[in-house]
Amino acid sequence: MNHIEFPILGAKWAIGSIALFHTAVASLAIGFAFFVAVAEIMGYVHKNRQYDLLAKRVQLIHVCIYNIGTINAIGLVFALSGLFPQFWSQIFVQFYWPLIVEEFLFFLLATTLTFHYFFWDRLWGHKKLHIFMGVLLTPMFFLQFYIINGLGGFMLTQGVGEAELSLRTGILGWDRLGFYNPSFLMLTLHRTLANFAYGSFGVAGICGAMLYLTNRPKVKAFYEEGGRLAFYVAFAAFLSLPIIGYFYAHVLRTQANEAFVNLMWGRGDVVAGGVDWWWVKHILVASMLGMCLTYFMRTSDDKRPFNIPNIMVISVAGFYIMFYLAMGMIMTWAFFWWMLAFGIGGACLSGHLLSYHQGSGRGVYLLIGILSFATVLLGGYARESARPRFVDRISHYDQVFVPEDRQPYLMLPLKPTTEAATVMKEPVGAGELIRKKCTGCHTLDRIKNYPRTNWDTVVRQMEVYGARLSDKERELVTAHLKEGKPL
Amino acid sequence: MDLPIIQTPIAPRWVWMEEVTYSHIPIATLITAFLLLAPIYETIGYLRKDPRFDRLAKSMVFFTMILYSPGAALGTGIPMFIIGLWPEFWSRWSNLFFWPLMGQFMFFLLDVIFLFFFYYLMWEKLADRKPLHIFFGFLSALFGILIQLVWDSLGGYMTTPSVPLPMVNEPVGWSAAAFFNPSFPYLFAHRFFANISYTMLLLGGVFALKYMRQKDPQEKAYFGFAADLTFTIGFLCFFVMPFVGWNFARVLQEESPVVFHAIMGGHASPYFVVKMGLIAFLVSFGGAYLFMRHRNRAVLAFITAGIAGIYYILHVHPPLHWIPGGPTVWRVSYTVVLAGLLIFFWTRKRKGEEESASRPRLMFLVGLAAFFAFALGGFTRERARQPYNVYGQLVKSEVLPLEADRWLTYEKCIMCHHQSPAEFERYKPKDWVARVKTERDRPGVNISDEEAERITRFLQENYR
Amino acid sequence: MSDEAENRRQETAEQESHEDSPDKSPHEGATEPQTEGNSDADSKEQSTSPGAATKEVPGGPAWEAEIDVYPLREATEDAKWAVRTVWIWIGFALVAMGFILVLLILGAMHD
Repeated sequence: MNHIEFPILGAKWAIGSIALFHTAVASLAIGFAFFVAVAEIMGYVHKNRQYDLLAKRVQLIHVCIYNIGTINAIGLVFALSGLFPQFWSQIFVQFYWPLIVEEFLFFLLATTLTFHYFFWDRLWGHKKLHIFMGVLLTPMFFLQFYIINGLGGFMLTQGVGEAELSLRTGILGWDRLGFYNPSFLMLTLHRTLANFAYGSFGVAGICGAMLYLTNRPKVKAFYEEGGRLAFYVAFAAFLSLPIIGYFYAHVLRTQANEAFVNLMWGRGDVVAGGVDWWWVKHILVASMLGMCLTYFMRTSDDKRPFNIPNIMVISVAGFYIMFYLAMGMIMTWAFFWWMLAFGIGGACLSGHLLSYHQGSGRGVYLLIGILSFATVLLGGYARESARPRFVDRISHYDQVFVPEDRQPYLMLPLKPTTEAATVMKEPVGAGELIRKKCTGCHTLDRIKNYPRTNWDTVVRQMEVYGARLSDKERELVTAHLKEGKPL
Repeated sequence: MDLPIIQTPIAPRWVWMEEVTYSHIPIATLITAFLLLAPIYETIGYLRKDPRFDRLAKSMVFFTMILYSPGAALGTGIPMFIIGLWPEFWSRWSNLFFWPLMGQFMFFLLDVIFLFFFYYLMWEKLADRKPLHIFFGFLSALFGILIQLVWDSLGGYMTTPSVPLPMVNEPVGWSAAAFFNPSFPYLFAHRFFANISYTMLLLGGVFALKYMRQKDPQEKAYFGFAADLTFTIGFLCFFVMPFVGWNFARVLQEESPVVFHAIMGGHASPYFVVKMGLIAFLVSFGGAYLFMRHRNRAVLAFITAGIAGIYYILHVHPPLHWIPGGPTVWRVSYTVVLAGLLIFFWTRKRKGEEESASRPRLMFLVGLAAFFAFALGGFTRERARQPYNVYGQLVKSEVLPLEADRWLTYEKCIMCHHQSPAEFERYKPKDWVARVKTERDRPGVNISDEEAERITRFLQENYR
Repeated sequence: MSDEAENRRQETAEQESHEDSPDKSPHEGATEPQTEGNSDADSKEQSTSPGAATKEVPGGPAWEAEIDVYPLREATEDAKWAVRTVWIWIGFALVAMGFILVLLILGAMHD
């Protein structure tokens, strides 16, 4: 044994649990900050106290959960320090300065949040100033997010060899190419908008729960309107996700092919306990979409503040369907049909809940809040579990500190040398080669259609079509395919 | 592990580290003390049906709420800074203390949950179920104290490591011997009472200023009450510290003699002397205030006993070299000063009934002195251990030759026949080459040529 | 709700009503016994914090009555220290964010 054992859960799941707990809370905090800003502005523009009160109540929850998020982050730091010291130290060698800046942003955020909440009733004569302070939280969160996603993206897509070289030549706290890695932008955009949607759906969920608990007509009206506003804001953010998701998947396909394959065909840790959790996430998203569509159809004549035009909803629904159709083609048709079934099921359920509660959105709000929570958790899980055990420089969570293996990366001379300028490549396995070289043009499913005996010819044909293989690679690939080993 | 060293701009790495640490520690200690005292005050208010105590407890918790998020955010900076700037130390240290750190994480989580959701938010809702509310307050306090307990254990280990610091690939996770290291109980006790003492003295000072400004008689009465109560508690708690501190110093003398000597006359002693000066100010003016204001004989007797306790400690302590004239002058001096102080106190008894504008300001200054004495305590401890991250085991990566030579000199020379590094001054005229050679020739002395050269260089450069 | 509890609340409210004196300093504000929902003199008519919502007045939460009013007031009615504190903090935060932004942009160009 050369590492600390974490009983029952194991090191990987211990980190995963804390990280998911942190993500669930921190993402909610980001979403809350955004929603509070929107609701407070709405209150001011329409001189409507309901929105302002809702914003304040949500901000109080935010103040309380913010610290839980902070402490989870600390727990994550401690856990990584003990369980993955080599990985963790290496990350700091590469990204020390971004992490310190991120830390400073943490402080800015915590203080701004505290001031925003505790000064709420002291600044009624300076309402715009107060609103501005609340609005400021979102760009602060975005900056913080920007940094943390630079690191998160790096763990999945390290970029080209140039970035690897930069570590070898002595990175001291700032790995430019590693930070601005290929998936960084997509991850940042995806998570930012997903958090806005998640936080606002979360508010809708809280309003839904409170509607079940109160009988006061005025209070009910308050939560009904609050839930409606939160639902609309959430859906507005939700609209952008398939577009970003498409480009994100595109980046993964070229830059983190193994992760892409794991996600699309249900390989690796994406499947746990016999369930493909990436599928589950998308099936839930489909049902959320169905629920949203019914809800909008029922409330489309609404003239209350912050409405979304029907045409936008319909066009985006169409976009979603195209997206899932495309996903289904890449993944499997079974997946597509399940999605469709859940989408329709969600729409029917939403309609039923609205009728059952005589037009009140309580059931829809509560359910959508729960579903969005589940999708955030599943999304985070899928991303982490799709990552290969080793991706170039970064060992995965399974691989705990092995000094003799990993140290050379960290003990290199600080100044460039001729030796350091030579980019070392780990030997690539045939399976990985196939995934990298073949899926540029077609899916892996197609490979299964060929008989085993014919691979010499097929591989040559593929080279004619444009596949770039060295002699050694050709041998490896052909042998692997002939033997019918898993891809 | 041999990781590259990240250099910091503008100031050396230790300055950045101290900066981030001191941005967090005053907030964290204040929160810990407030969380403990708030339910105590609330209980007293409940039992005595005195709403003033409830108001005081509530205001402390409110203040805690405001500080908690920024404090926690700054706290996360501490491990971040260490991981990047002292990666080897952090990796090995967190390897040794992995499970206490995990416990720490859980304590933090529970602390926040009880403080925010069960104590703060429930204040009004549980107004009719006060004992339950108070119970939640104590739970929050308990987790706050447990957090401090873990930190003090890990901090104590850095000064008195009872087991070797393991390598990263020699997993430990939990070591009872390391956790319960020799200085841990004293460090914990010292900081526990110090937290209460400095925060209450400071709070008393703030309340005194508010008292001075208030025009509303009802409010004035409340702030007068709050100032008196908190200041008195802070002052009385202070008297525990000389006893804990004395034992703490003895443990250091035994387990980490170089640290002890660094504080007692060595390079860290100027900070310690300033700290003692602040404490002298605190005791003199704080004591005078209490004697002038208090009718309660028990409080006055406690203060008198406390001063006698300080006298006792100075008496059993070997004579210090803080003033010229030798041991007799030293002993006579502190006897006269302490006796004079007591006489001064008792003659001032109850002579402060009339209002005085300067008194609240003085109370506030006493509070500030207590705070700086507290802050200097931690700083002194850290400075005394330099250049080691962990005493005698892990030298910090940016060690300066001066620091390394100083440590060697203390270690080799002071241990045998010097009571304090200040005694180096007594060799006049100083021919350090000859002196070191003479000392090396003594039986049982083990100093290599290279070490002798370094020791001589240090002495020549610093004791000319 | 018992009479005793009601009295206690009234006492607290009376205490709190003294708290927002115009000369209050930030520190004073911070050490005031204002838990969430306890009200300042001015917030008697405006404050509807969730903490206050936890005070169950007969028939519903305390803030129910406040839903109808959007209580803007003259800028001069705000405590000066509060406005000053917020301005200082926002100024600091904006400068800090600008600095971080510059760092991120420069960082994209230089190793």
